Amino acid sequence: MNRNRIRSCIEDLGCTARLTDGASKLVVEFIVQGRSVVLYHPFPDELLRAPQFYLQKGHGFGKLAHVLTTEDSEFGEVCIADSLSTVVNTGRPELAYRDTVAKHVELLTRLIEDPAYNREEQLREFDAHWKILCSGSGSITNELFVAWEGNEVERLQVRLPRKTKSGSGLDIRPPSAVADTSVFHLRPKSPKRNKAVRRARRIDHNAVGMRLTHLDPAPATKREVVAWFFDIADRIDCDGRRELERLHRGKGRDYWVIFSAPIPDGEAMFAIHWRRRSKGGLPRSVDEAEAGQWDARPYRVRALSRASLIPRGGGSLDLSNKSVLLVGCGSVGGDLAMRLTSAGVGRLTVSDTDKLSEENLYRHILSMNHIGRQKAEALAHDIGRKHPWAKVESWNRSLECLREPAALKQFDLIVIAVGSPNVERAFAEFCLEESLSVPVINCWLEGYGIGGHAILVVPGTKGCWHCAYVDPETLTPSLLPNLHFLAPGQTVMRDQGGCGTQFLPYSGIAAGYTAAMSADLAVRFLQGHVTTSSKISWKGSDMEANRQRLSVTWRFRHFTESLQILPLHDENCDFCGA
Amino acid sequence: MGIQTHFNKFHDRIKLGRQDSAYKKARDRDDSIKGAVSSAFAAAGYPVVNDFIQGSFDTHTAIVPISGDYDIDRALVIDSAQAPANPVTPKKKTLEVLESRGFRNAKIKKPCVTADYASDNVHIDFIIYKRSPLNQLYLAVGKEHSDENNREWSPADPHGLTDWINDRSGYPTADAQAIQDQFRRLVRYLKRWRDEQFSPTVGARVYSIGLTVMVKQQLRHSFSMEGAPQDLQALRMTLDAIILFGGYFTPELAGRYRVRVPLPVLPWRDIFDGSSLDTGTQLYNKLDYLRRKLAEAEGLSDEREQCRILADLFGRDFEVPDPPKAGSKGRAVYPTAGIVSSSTGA
Amino acid sequence: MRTATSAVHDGVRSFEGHGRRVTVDREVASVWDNHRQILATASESFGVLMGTTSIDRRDIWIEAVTTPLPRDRRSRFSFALRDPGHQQAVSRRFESSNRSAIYLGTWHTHPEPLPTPSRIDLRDWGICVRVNRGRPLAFVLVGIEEVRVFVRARGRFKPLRPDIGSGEIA
Repeated sequence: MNRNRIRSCIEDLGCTARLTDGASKLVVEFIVQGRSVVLYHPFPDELLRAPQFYLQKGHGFGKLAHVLTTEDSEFGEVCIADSLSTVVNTGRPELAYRDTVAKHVELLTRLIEDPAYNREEQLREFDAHWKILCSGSGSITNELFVAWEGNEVERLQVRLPRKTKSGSGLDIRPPSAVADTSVFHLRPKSPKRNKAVRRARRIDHNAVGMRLTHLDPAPATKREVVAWFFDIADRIDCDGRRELERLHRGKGRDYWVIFSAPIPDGEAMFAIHWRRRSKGGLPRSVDEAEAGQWDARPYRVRALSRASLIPRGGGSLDLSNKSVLLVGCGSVGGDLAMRLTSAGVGRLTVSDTDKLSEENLYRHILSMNHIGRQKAEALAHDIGRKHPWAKVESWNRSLECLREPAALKQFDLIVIAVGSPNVERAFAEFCLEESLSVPVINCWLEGYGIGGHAILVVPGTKGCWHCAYVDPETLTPSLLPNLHFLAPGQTVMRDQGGCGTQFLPYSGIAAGYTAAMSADLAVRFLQGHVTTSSKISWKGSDMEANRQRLSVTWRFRHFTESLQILPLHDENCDFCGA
Repeated sequence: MGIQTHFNKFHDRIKLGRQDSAYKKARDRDDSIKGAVSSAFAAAGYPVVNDFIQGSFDTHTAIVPISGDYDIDRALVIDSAQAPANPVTPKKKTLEVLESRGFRNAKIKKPCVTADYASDNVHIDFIIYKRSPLNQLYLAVGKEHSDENNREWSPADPHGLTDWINDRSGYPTADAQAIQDQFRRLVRYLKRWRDEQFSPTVGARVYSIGLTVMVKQQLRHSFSMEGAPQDLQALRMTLDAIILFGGYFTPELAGRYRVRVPLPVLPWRDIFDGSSLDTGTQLYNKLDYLRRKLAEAEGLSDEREQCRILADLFGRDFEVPDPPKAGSKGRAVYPTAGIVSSSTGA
Repeated sequence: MRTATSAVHDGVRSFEGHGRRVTVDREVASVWDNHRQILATASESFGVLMGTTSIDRRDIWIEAVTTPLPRDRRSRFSFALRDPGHQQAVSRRFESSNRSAIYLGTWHTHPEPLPTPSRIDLRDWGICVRVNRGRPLAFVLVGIEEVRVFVRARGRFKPLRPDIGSGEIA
């Protein structure tokens, strides 16, 4: 890296630039509103991200957005763009420097010249500023978990993260019932809590969450937090005021006030913890606070909020009111269940009569400690731990026993992953017979990793279950799906020791593909992107099938539409034709 | 049901196989007369060393004739060492036998001796070859009074032609059977279309072998993703190729066309050699009309409408389904018959 | 007492209700008519119903029936369908009908004018439904005066009402 070339390249921008400290630092200076702005840059050994510049304090422009200052440093870190999303031309570092400095000049000039923009940008990065206020000694940040959506004024139960023995910082153990936010509310008759909740370190006194309609940029220092709090408190309206009033009259040592507020492009959530040695009501003013020796400590809030965590994980909130029945909790079904709730499906009923056995381990999503347990029940348990807002119920029923219209009508979608063609056929006939209006997805995979399939039947639309069962040669109803990749009439099952021990050879990867594909079809349907009967397949390699001397179908040889949703309707189907 | 089901039914009706009873009767006639001709050849000093049926049975492209007349192309092979120098000699001998056995309209044509069997609808062409020691066949060419310049033992390769038609090495191995089957169906459709759409005299000059070679060379097969044949589309695409890219039709003056389809095997001559501009023009225009109508049918969603168009092209054997009866509904189809339990009652 | 007529005999060959319409072929109706237990000594007659259904399975068309076979057991008040010929008849018909004609239930006679199902009948019908899950089934009782058709609806067997207006099979 030729530092002189960098320097001269920056001077081309109209700034002054010089190297100091034996050319280990770069100092850039430019003028805004007649005053000088000074940026420092310590050269790194290697340029792996956009060069980082620091703004010298005491520039007299007040607090600026995108400049993160800590109380003990004389420099503020300037952030111009997310370093992850910037690609640096390391081959021509002088260009990277020139462009970076140009962005700094542009950004800082605008922030200084346009106070409204500066304020909006400060709000936008409220959380970053607040986080600095919350830093305690060392790397510890004052943080707390709140299960609150941030909409209504609510009395809350606050759970502090616990320190672990390993000293890595935080040990978060949300109870399995965290989805039920009511366990966090301080209600006189609180719902029964399970052990996990009881074990958690609760602060079940005097915590209130309230919503602000208007927010000021975060205070620059911890000292300013008290005054800043009362500024905000003055603007709280009726419901919040009533709760605040209650705290003022309280008889405690700790008070937690948790705020949510709109910021440009999002929501901010933060908390202030009031405490002192002796009991008494929350102070009403800066003076009272000082007189009462109250300590106001800013806290970062990590919200266990459905509305923010589901989208953050790529799930969709639209799906939270959808109810899905999944029959079959094997290697495909288990994975599928997890993916459905991960996508945001709010209510899932899983049904299977099977118990997890050691044979399942390597391709099943459930872990060893569930062996011997009902698969459905174990799955419901695990999903609850992973996706806390999903309401998962488990049934111990087989597909053949589920042929009851009354039991099925409540669902928006039925997904069948039982891998048993005869029962699936009987179920499909039952659906026709009863004119069941619930859409059904059947999914299954073929052996030796050659592929997997899913069909979606939406009653009343073109295409029915039987469309997947038209023999391509005779164009008559067939017992085997025409989606198949392995030619009919071959032995695919593998035998391990006689009757009843046959199994279909496929890998956990193949099961995973099938599950992911079927979940995608289910989610697209539930979101309204797919409205008619459809089919989807993934095509794997025929290497293993060839080795087993199995022949493949026309469809396999010519299939190029893996993972594409295709219409299910077959014009030669006798059921929906005519 | 889709349109392919109707094509399948049509194909079942028009296809003719060796074992079909109507054809067997023709074969019986052929067998007896073949014996008589063979004896006559033997007596004349050139015994028959081999015989075979030439034509569309070995290529599975034979169709049931709408006229009811069954054609048999009977090939007789004599040894070249014993064969007379004049190729017309054995043809005259054949004619004598036929006439003595009560055949009507027996006459010597350039490549064969042709006759209708008096009582049945059987039409037999006798084709005479001589075989060289190297197994090369020579066709006896010439009419009864042809002079030396118009008669010859002309090199020919009838087996090579059959092999060429049956060759599927150009298709992906796993799909070859399905594609060849589709090819055979397309040829049968076109032959039936020819029989329906041309007057007998012109139709007789639209040689089956010409149609077969064109389809074979320009075949565009079509199957659904699941591998179900789509004959309508395949036929239309193949015709597009024949007309647009085949190079078989050369425009002449006044919107007329000459058709040329070279034999793909020895002697490589033009199958339509000597055919008139009328034949070429009619064939071109009718093929073009056919492909346009097929394209129109492809675009329709109503099966009965499609069938009506196809029946106009292919004749009555292409069935137009009855309209759904008013008030009645279609029947459901089931995968199994259902189980009769050993019911008891009182 | 009317002896010469039954609901079927009167030309009514259609029964409706509970989301179903069962239509009976003329010849089937005459088979039933001939098997009525009018004589005091007559044994019960019985057999299976065969026919087709509409695509939406609302319509059931009873096109043929079997009648008692040698290996069946029959008495005046009971019967047992034991002869494999019934299943054979069903399977033959299925194959020859392009898979549209199937087993559609059973019929038997009762020596009473207006037949009602016995507990044994109901239990047996339940078994028939169970082994033919997903199929539309009908059960026919041929009384001395009337024929009644039952279908399963909401878990119970309900009689259908004879449809006087239309008798013709489509």
